Amino acid sequence: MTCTHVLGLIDAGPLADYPRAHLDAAWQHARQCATCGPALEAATSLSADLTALPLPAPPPNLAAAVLARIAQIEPSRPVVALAETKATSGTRDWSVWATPLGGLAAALAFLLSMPPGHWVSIGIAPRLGGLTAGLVTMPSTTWAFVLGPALVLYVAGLFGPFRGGRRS
Amino acid sequence: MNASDRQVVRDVRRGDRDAFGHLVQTYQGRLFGLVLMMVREPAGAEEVTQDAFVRAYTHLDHYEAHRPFYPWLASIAVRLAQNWLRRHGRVVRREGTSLESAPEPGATAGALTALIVHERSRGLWQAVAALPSGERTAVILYYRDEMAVRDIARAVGVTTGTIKTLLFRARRHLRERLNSVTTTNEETSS
Repeated sequence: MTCTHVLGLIDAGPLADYPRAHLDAAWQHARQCATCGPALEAATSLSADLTALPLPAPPPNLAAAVLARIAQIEPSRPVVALAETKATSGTRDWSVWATPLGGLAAALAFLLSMPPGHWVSIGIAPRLGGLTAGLVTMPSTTWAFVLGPALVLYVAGLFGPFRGGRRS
Repeated sequence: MNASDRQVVRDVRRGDRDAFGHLVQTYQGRLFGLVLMMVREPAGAEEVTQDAFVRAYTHLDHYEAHRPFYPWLASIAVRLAQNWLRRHGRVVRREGTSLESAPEPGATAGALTALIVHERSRGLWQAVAALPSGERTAVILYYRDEMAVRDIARAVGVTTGTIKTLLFRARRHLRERLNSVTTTNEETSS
């Protein structure tokens, strides 16, 4: 291992892309070498100093100047308009989860309401009217009471974004 | 990106312009330091930093919220600083296409040293400020701003290999420069 190679590894620092054993041999060389030893120490110290390098403070009015320029670009919205925006976005947030949740609940209620035999008939012989049979027999089960609210939630979620007269 | 930044970005996107002030307050120090190191002129650095924040605000819809905010902001600032240098006849070459240590006309690194309060750091600061443009940028983003090589490459618009090369050369230049300063000081004192 030559000093030139080890010095190259020292300069590469944490980005040196070599196997662990190779790097260990290089550092071993550096510890015993009058040229590479000081270079390794200096490089280690340099990395720490660069990480802690103090930079000049920004001008005191920088933030104010930026905000003033932004205000010129886009005139300030009235507070009412801002509140309306937030309210509308709240509606949108609600409708985002209402639709899938309602749909999932309705689907589950529908499937669980059917006797196991109908599941088989839906899967194996749809021509026998398994789906229709399921719909007919469903009201006799308690799951039917879940289906109604779930469908309402699903539909409400679908139309949620239209409340407030705008859609995102 | 931390949760606070994410919330602020969400608020700004919903129209709460004042929330952007929080991001400016948080990142103005880091961004100004980066830009100052690139353009090496306080007035120019202030202009570019302001432009970067305004550009970030107007293009906030392009920002991907799952990524950290600062690297995105820094990438805007780096591009604007490169444009500024081009406009002012400084470094015309693109970072990474020429890695030579050619002196930059109009460089005023010495004048900037006065802005550094800590006496002990002035030598290192001067050494960093004297590096070629690409190396300077890479060093500040990697060491001072602790950005990953991949993020730096994206910000500067070059490959990760180029950034590694810039950092390698920067470390070598700094080591040589600081060595020569130490040697000169020892000779002067003896």
